Amino acid sequence: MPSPQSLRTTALIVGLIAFGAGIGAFTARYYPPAPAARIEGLMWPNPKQLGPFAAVDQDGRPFTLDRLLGKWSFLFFGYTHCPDVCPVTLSVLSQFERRLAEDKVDAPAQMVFVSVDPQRDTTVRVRDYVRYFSPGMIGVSGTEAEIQSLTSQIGIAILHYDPDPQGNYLVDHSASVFLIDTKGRLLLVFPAPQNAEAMLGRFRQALDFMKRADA
Amino acid sequence: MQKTWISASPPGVNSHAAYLEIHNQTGNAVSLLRVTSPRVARIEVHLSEVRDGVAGMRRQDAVAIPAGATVEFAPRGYHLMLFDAAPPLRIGESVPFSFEFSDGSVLNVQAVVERRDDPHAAHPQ
Repeated sequence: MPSPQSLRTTALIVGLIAFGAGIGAFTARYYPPAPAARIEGLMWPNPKQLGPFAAVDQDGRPFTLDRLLGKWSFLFFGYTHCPDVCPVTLSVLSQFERRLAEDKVDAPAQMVFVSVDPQRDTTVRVRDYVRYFSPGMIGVSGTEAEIQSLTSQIGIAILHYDPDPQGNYLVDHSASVFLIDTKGRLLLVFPAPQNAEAMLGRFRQALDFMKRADA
Repeated sequence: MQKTWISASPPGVNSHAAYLEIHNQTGNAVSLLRVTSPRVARIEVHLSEVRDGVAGMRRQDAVAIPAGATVEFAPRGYHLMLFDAAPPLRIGESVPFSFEFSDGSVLNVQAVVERRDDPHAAHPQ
């Protein structure tokens, strides 16, 4: 497997993150006092506004753009057959969710796992998976087109490998956690490896910044 | 070998990651070539990597362990992939493994299936 045979590129990462970083660098250089530049991963002042998408949540209900509005949504893209990076990241999200509650952070938040493996990850499978990590976590699945209606907007990289003789296959996927703000804008990216305390600190910074920047 | 553990899997998932540390206390470099267990149909060594923000796992044919060195198998790095345990592994179960090295040595080790909510407890960063 070191030399993956025919990689099927379902979606390629776009220059979104680099673009955001570039904006940040520009801002830092020409507007030194701008606090946005000090918040790593913040996409301000050009957060991408998400448009409509249509996927399915863990209970079979539609998961659409309006489910993100009015909440701070932390999205992670992975697949249930992923034994290492995905469980680790979802454990971090679950801890982060607990820390938000403990610290009484005054911002409605939701943790969202989005499967990038529509072939194997059924709604029920995704429901059982997210329940293992947190009772409140949302688990999103759907057809390939439905998943793409969301992943293509955020610029999620997904690479499906050919199955082995046993039918197992690996999927490469973005390792970052993406924060969508209450207006449905991609505001902040938490690159891997994440940890709950650092996420909490940066989320507080972002909340504080947005109170002033986006009043 | 130290710090062996197997990560419990969410419902419906019959693959597990197993973690450990291998200390090479010999004066020679060795490679880990193969891991087997009577409880698991297939075991592969994988390395998780994040490149340009994309997480991927790569199967490793061998893992080199220099003389005197320690190689850590930990979340987000090297791990053993355990496929198709029959019957499925249970939390608390102790699973026997045989590790085969390039110098012909074989080490037999037990690892317990655990659920660790805080992966950093196992892998301080």
